[in-house]
Amino acid sequence: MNKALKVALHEYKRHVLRRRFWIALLAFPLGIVLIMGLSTILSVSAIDKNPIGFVDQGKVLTVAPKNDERKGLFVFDVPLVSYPDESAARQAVAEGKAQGYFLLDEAFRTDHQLTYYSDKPLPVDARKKIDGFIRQNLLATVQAENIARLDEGSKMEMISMDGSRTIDDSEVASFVVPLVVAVIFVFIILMSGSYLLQAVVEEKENRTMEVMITSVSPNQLMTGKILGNMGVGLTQMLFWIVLIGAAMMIFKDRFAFLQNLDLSWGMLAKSVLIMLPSFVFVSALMATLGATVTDSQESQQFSGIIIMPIIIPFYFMALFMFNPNGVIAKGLSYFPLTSPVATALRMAFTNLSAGEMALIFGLQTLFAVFSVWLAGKAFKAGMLQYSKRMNLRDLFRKEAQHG
Amino acid sequence: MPSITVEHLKKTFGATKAVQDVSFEVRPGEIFGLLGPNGSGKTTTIRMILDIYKPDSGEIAILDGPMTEEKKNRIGYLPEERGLYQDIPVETCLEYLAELKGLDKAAIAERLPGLLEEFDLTVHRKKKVKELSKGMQQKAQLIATLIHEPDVIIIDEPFAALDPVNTQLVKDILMAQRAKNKTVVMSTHQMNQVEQLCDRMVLINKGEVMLYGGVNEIRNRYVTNEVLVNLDGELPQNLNGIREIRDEGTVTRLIPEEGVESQDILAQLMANGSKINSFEKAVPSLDEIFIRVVKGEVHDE
Repeated sequence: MNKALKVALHEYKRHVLRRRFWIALLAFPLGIVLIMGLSTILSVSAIDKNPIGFVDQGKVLTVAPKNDERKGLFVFDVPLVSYPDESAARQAVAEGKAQGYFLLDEAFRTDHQLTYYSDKPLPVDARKKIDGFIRQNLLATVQAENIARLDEGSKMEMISMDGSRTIDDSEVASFVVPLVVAVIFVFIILMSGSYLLQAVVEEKENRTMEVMITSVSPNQLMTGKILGNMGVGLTQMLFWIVLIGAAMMIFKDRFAFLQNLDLSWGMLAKSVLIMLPSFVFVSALMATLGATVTDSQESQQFSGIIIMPIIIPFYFMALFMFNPNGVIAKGLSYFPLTSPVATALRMAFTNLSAGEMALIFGLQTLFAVFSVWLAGKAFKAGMLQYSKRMNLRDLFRKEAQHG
Repeated sequence: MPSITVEHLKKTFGATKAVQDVSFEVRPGEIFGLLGPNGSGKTTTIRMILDIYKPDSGEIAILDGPMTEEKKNRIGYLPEERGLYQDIPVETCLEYLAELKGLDKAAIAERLPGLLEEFDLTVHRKKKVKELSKGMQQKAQLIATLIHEPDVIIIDEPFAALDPVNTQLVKDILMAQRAKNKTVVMSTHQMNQVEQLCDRMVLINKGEVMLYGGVNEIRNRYVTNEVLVNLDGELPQNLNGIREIRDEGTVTRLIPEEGVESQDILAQLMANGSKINSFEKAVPSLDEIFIRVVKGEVHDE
C-alpha cells in the first residue's frame, strides 16, 4: 500500500475507532432531536385539539369539512363539527366536547361576518382551516372551469434566459440542494479541518516529526493526513445524512414538503464538484497553519482567520437572493476562501453558465494546488521548530525551499 | 564500500554557522561515534545525512548514493527529540511506524512480539504510550528504530533515559547489529560508552572536525610517558626522574620528567624490590581527550 494511504488509514482509524468519536457523533443529532422534540412536545401539548363546532344558520355550508381522522402526537388537526343550532353547540362546549363554535347567521352571504364563541383563543391553524372550509363552500356554488385551480392558485415555471435551467414549484430541491451542499461543506470543513489541524500540531507536540520524515516524504505525509481527516469528516456527515434520511422516511407522511421533494441529481453533482477543490484548498491551509504554530491551543486561536471568510457569504444571503450576478456576489464567488459558499448561493438563486462554472472550478483548483504547495513548504520549514511560531519570512526563507 | 560518506559539509542558519567543514566515512560492520559538545553541529550533521536539511555545500552519500524515498526503509533513526504518538497503545504505534518503514502485517506480526519481549515491554503493549515511563518509551522507540532490520542505524543518545540494566541491554543489541554487518552511527556524550562500543569516531566542535579515526588509535595518539602503578606497600621515596606524584585512589599516577621512559621507572621499582600489582602507561580516557580538545588545548593533525 502506498505510504500516503497508510498515513490516511492510520489517521482515519485513530479517530473513528475511538468511543468518544461515536459519542460525539451521536450526541449532536441526539441533542438536536432532544431540543426539537421537547419544543415540539411543549408546543403540541399547548394546542387545544378539541373540535370546533359551527352552526350554519345562513345555509351556506353544503360541503362537509375535511377532518384528519388520524390520532397521535404529530396530528395538529382541529376537527370541525356541525351543530344544528346554537343551544346544541353551547351544550357541547359546556360538556367539553368542543372548545368553541362559530356562527354563520343569515346575513353571512352579504356581510361575510363570522362570530366565534369561546372562552379560549382561537388557534391559528384552526382559523386557517375555518377560512379554507368556508372558501371551499363558497366556491362550490360557483360554476366555473378549473375551480380547484382557482382555490389553489397558479403554478409557475421559471426558465433561465438561455433555457439551460428550468425550475417549477415542485422542484424545491433545485434551490435547496446548493444551499444544503454549502452547509454540509461548512460542517465538513469545520470538522475535518479541525481534525487535520490537530493531527499536524500533534506531530509537533509529540515530537514525532523527525521519525515520520525519515519514513515518508512530507508530501506523502500531508496527503495522507488530508485524506484521512477528510474521511473522518465525510464519515460524520454520511452518518448524519443517513440519520436525517431515515428520519425523513419515517416522518414523510407528517410533513407535506417532504412528499414533494424531488432531488435534482445534476445540481447535486455540480454543487459537489465545485466543493472538491475548495475542500483541498481549505484543508491545506489548515495544515499550513498546523505546521507554523507551536501547539493546539494556538492553532485554535488562529483557525478563526480561515473559518470566518468561509461562512461570511451566509451573512449576505439577501444580497445573493436579490442580485446573484452583482459585483459583490461574483467577487465573493471568485475569492478563494469565500468561493465555495458564495458559488453555492449563486447556484441556488441564479443560473451559472458553464463557462463561469469552469472559471470558478479552475480558479479553485489553482488555489488548491498553491495551498498544497504552501502546506508542504510550511511543513518542511516548521516541522522541527518545536517551540517557535513561524512567520511568513521564515516560510519563504531558503531552508524552506529544500525538500 | 562505506555506508555513509560525508565530504566538506557546510550549513548555516541565518548568521549561525552550524556546520563549517565536516568530512568522515562510516563503514558497514562498525559502530561509529559522532561526538561533540552541545551545539557542536552533530544533530545538524545527522539531519543532513538523513536529508531532513540540505547542506549549503558538500557531498553526502548514504548506501551508495544520495538519499531516496526507497532508502528510508533501509535506515533506522532514533532522534534526539524522542517522539511517539502518546494517545494510542504502544503496540498500535509500533505497528504503524513499522508499516511506514515498508513492513507488511505478516512481517510485523512475526517480529514485533519478539522485540517487545526482548525489551521487556510485552506486558505494557496494550497501554497508551503516555502511560509508560520515559525509559520504557525510549525502549519502544528503539524497537521502532530496529524492527525493519535496517542496514544503517543512526541513534542519538541511545542511553539517555536508561538504567544500567537497560543500558547493557541496548549495548548488547548494538553489538549484535555490528556482528550482522550493519552500520551503526551513535551520537552521545557518554565517553565511556564510546570507549566500550565504538570502533571509530569523529569529534566535532563548533561545526568542525577536531578528531577523527579509530577510538584506540586516537587514545594512543594522546599517550604520554605518565604511568599508573599499584604497589603492595609504600611507593619508594628515591625514584629518579619523577616530576609529580598523584594519588588517584586505587592507583598512583607518576608524571615523569621529559625524556624519562616508563621502562626506566619500572626498572627503578623492581630494583627497589617493590611488590608491583599493576603497572601501565596512562592512556588518556576519551573524557580527558574530549575536554582537552573542546577547550582548545589540542587539535587533531
